This record gives sequence, structure tokens and C-alpha cells, in this order.
Amino acid sequence: MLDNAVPASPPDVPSQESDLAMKHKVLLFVGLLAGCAARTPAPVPVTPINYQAPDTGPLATLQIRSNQVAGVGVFSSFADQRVCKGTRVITSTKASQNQLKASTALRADEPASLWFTYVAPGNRPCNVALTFKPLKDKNYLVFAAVSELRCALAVQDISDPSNPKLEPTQFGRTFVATATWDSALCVAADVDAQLAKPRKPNLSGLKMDDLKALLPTAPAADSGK
Amino acid sequence: MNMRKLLSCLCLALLCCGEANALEPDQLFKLISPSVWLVRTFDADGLPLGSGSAVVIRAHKLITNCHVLGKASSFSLVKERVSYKGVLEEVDIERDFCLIAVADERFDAPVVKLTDSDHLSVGQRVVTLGNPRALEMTLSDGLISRLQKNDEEQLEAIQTSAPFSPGSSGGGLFDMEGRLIGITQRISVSTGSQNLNFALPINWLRDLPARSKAQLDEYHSAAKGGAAK
Repeated sequence: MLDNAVPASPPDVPSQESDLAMKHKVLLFVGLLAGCAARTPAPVPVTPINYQAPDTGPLATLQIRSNQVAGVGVFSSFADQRVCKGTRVITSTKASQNQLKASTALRADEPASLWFTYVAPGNRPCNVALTFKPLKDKNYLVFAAVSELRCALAVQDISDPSNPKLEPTQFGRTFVATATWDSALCVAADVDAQLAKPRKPNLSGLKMDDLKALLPTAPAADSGK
Repeated sequence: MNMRKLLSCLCLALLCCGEANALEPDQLFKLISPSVWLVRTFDADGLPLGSGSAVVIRAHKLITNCHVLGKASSFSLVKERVSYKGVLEEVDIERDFCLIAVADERFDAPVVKLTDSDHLSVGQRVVTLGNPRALEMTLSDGLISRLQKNDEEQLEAIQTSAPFSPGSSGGGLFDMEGRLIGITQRISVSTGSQNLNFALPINWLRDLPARSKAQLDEYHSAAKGGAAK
């Protein structure tokens, strides 16, 4: 994009600047994982649970990568993939020298939700989550891209490494503003409908609401042109 | 020998014909500049929000990138200190194509010629005209560097070495005859990228009415559904 809206991420891939409602929680969470207790408020009675990769049933492979970052990024999935409840930590930048680098397995043919949360000293934390539907025996790459202004998450199907494709089923999740550790992080969505809906690239990076003040008040009448 | 000379002459003549209608950049500028406008957007308080470009493709109708208009409450088309209020008429946010209209009868900007963007060639010379950083009517030139196609071999983007900058969005990418081939849309800003600029194929204009109607219908019906809950 060249102007007002500048999504640096690939089209239709969730990216999010800071979510202030999540700030406190993220700091606590990251603090716990990173062991930087000095900067965090009182400990929360939550122990991160690690993700247990499935080893039976139809499976897909997930490669996890990020760019090199100065702060701490944590990459997780969930016990309940539909509403992002029950965080399961897969890896963190701390575990891989400031760059996510891990591989795991996902259950194929059912929704998989992924959450990346990132904080760096002096920067606002950012959170981004998506859901997609991995297919059996496919190989996926999820890349977390962090810049000073934003972070973004995108899944590619890299089953054919010479022809990586943006995963068409992925869709961004909206966080519940009042989420707690015990509640769902993602706003409820008709996940099955979203996954079934073919993802169309969105070159503008806009939602229709971003043009709300300018839109015709009703759909343009078919004038037979 | 004579035959060889004749063939050479014919080849030369053909090559010359290819360039026969090509204009010099200053001629091009004179031809297309009345049709390229600065878009200024404003927030709900009427304060300046951003700027971009737009190209007159029919009488009183201009094409621009939707992202130029994002978050705006109103916008104007500006040229040489003359300003006209614009209205958003058709929207394709997926392709970042927005058609805007100027109702004011005094708006008599000439319409540009369009070309068939399915018949472009890598290496073809092009110029871009827009308002980068609100610097009105900035002309640059370059080549078509690459034609980006999807799996169905449909053109998705025209990559060019003609430089774009913020504010160029919605401006025109023209062939050397002054025909509009694309709408300048984005640049690659990845580390190490140099002069990787992308325009949207002008043939997408043909699909705009139907795609706009579908997207607006979906939006309005979703809004109605939400309101009913």
C-alpha cells in the first residue's frame, strides 16, 4: 500500500497493532515465560501449559518461524481451537534465540488456532491470532513478522516447497476485550463457515467499515447498465 | 542481397511502426496530466487525513485505490488549487479498486484512453503520473518489470520499475501512447527491496460494477442482520 492503510502483511492475513485491553495480561504472560519478573506486576496464578503434539490420527506438520526480534514472542495454540481457550505454548523466541524456530504436528481436518503474542522493552505488546484448517499430510509454515509498529501472522502451505501458497482457509481472530486466562480469548465466530468460505485476497487491507462514512447508504440499484 | 536488404527494411519499418505512436515524456505529460487528480481525504471533523491520486476514466468518474479513502469521512479532488467534492460510487475492497464521482458540472477533466492490460509485455516502457507525498503531478518512467499472474494465468499485478511513493496510490500507469494500463497501488518495502512497484491491471475496471454490487450487498445484508439481532 502506498497511502493511508499500509498492511505490510500478505493480504487477508491477520495483523494487529497493540491491543491495550490485552496489554496487562500479555506482559504478565510473557514475563512469566521470559523470567523477567523484575518488570512485571505481581505473579498471576497461571502456569503455562505446553502444547502436546498429537501423534495419532490424521496429522499435518507445522513449521514455525519468525523474523529476528529484540523482545519476547510466544507462540501458542489452544485446547479449544474454536474460541481460543486453554492456552498451550508451543515455543517462544526465548527458547530459540530471539527467533521462532520450531516444528510440531497439528490434528488434520479440524480447526487449528494459533496465537502469537510479542512484547519488547519500550514497545507496545501486540497480539495476533488466526484459525485455519490443516489437511492430512500437508506441511505448513506459519511466519510471525514483527516490526516496530505491528506484528503479523500468516500461514502458507509449503507441501510443495517450490510453490508455497498462502493458506486459503486462514482467517484472523478478534480478541475478546475482557478476556481472562480462564475464558475464551477469541470472539466467537462461525468457525466452520469461515473455514469453508474461500479466502479472497484483500489488496486494500480495508474492511468495508473503513469506508462506512463514504459508502452509498443502500446497495446501488441495478440500473441495467 | 537485395531481398535481404528489403527484409531488413521491412523489419525496421515494423519496429518503427511499434514506436510510431509513442510520445515523448513531455508530450505524454501534456496529454495525461489533466486527467490525473490529487485526492485529499478528511476525517469527521473536516481535518486533513491523507492524500492519494485518481484518474478520470469516464466523464465525472475517477478510479482510485480504496485504501486512499480508508477511514475518511469525506474527500476532494484537487488540481491547481481547484477542489471538487467527491462521492464514492463503486467499491471493490478486495481488489482495492474504488470508483468515485464528481457531480459538479464544472468538473470537465478529460477522460484517458484505456488499453487492454491483458496484452502487455515485460520490458515495455511506461510512465506513472500521480501525487507522491502530495507533490502534485509527478511524472516518472520505467519498464514493466514483470507481469504477476495467478495459477489461472490471469494478470494480478503489473510490476514496474517506474517509482511509486506514498501518495502515488490511485495514480495512473500509462503506456508511451498515454493509454492507461494500470492503477498504481503498492510498493515492496521489505528490507533490501529496491524499486519493486505494483499496479493493478486496468482491465479489472470491467468487473468493478458487479463486484462492487456483490460486496456492498453482502455488507449491507450483514449490517441489517446485525441490527436485527
